[in-house]
Amino acid sequence: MTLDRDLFTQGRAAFAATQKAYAGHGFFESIQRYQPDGRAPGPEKGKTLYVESFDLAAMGGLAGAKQAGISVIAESLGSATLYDALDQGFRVWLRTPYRAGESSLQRTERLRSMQDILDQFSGMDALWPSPLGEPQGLDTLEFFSACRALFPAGHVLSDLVLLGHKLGQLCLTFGADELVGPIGTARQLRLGDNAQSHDVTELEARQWITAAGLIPRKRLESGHVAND
Amino acid sequence: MLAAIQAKIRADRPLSHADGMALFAHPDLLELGALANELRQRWHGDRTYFNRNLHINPTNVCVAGCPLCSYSRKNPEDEGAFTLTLRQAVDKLRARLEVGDRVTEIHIVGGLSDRLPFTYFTDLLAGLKQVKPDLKIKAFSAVEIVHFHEQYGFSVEEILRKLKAAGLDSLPGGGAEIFSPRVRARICPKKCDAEAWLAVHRQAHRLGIPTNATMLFGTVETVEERIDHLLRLRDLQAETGGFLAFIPLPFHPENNALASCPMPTAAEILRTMAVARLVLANIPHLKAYWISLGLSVAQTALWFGADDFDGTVSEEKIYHQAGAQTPETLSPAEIIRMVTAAGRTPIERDTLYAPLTPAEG
Repeated sequence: MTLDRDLFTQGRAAFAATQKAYAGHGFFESIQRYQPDGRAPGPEKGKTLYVESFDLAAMGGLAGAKQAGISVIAESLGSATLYDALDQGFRVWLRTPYRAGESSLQRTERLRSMQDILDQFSGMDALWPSPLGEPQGLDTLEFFSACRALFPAGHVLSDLVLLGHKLGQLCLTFGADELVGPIGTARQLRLGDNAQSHDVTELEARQWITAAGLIPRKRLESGHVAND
Repeated sequence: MLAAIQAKIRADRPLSHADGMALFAHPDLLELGALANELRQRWHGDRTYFNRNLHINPTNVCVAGCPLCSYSRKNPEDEGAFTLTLRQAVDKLRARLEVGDRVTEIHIVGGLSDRLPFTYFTDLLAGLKQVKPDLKIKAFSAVEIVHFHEQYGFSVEEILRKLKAAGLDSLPGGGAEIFSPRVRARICPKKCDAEAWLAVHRQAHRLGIPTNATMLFGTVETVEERIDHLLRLRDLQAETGGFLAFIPLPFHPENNALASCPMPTAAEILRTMAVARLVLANIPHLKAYWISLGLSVAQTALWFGADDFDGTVSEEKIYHQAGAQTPETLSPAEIIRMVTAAGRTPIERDTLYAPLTPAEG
């Protein structure tokens, strides 16, 4: 991919749309994937549990998800289950895959299929841009700008684990309005199994959102904003 | 306010301290980036420079013991302390050459040792040149030069002449940190002060030795102190013209005594890059040192004023001790891929920014 458009024009349009969508607020939410075997690693309370839609069958469908305390369904294909999920009050985050180095045609196709899903299912909570393989900086920022254009009034998530901390922060200037990842009240020591941890603290998330020019707010498992 | 600054930049008029403060306070990061990019485009077009370089750190034994440092050890007996023999140091170059790495530059910085003779350093330069005579050696920060002066009793000029005779081609920009005495007292109290740092570079420039300059930001300095730092560099450049590149370095807080300082945010890093490009309009190159910035921020910085991606950087130790998550080396092919993906044209360069034959993996 080469940048054949103006990075700054794209970014400013995306950032303006983000500001408009949420009155200048940016969000952070601590999330944890729920595995079909019942594991949801991580000691922190208060994390939003999500499940990939392809794992639903192994845990008893949406009823099982509800019982496990899951509030978010992550989906990438637009399956019929989404109607039920939305009806039953789950939040649905649409995974939006992309790959650094793919052609403009491939990229356009991806965005078109996401648009089709958004058109088909109203009530989606968020787009969740998800790099396939190692993300690249400018390619990612351009993709986030495109996602914001695709979903101007919804949440666009910047995943700190998939993107890394710095690129994740930068996405807030290019269309993302929400940082997601393991975000705790205190940092755990990076030792043993935690040596390569992507954990960040709420203080850091707030600083990063502020540095991007947005007002930081915490989102809870319910999707509502905490009273700061 | 930005319109007035833009007019100054387009008229090639230097920015004031107040202009710098206004740029740091400007709420629109992308507008700031676009302005820095305009100047970058005027000077360099899409060209983005990189080189094939090898880092050699002769020793991490250091008498300074700076709170900001994750790398040094006080005594040779301390755990993790090392001092390379001359043979070990030269073998690092030989090893790279034997695997076909066409290294063009060696970057040498190390601790302030009170155990090594001065001939260790001149022999090191000569030994490396003997292995590859066309190699360019960028070695010893101004802080090390001042230490040599204090340790061995030669004048700074004599030190530089002796090192040049042994093979020194340029000086790196390290040790500048932040020039403010208030900040230096907190983060590196035993390093030479700003006047001494600038005097070494002035002397080097007079002897025909080009140098780089750095600024370590994100510790305890104020924005005002950053601007002051940039303006002092700009003044020296106006006097000598000897600086090749400016390298902003965000502070990495792990494994050192300043761990309570949060690492600068990505937005802060890009903002500082952009402001540096605009304020230091008389230093030709702005380097996005990917080891320190991280790959994604370094690539993005190529649109916020930076025109140099640094190099392949084999064997970087100092930032990795401080928690840098970047790889310790990149191949030329990886650099070319990242620069090209940023919409820029990669140009392999030598130490003095002369383009080399078309870059290849």
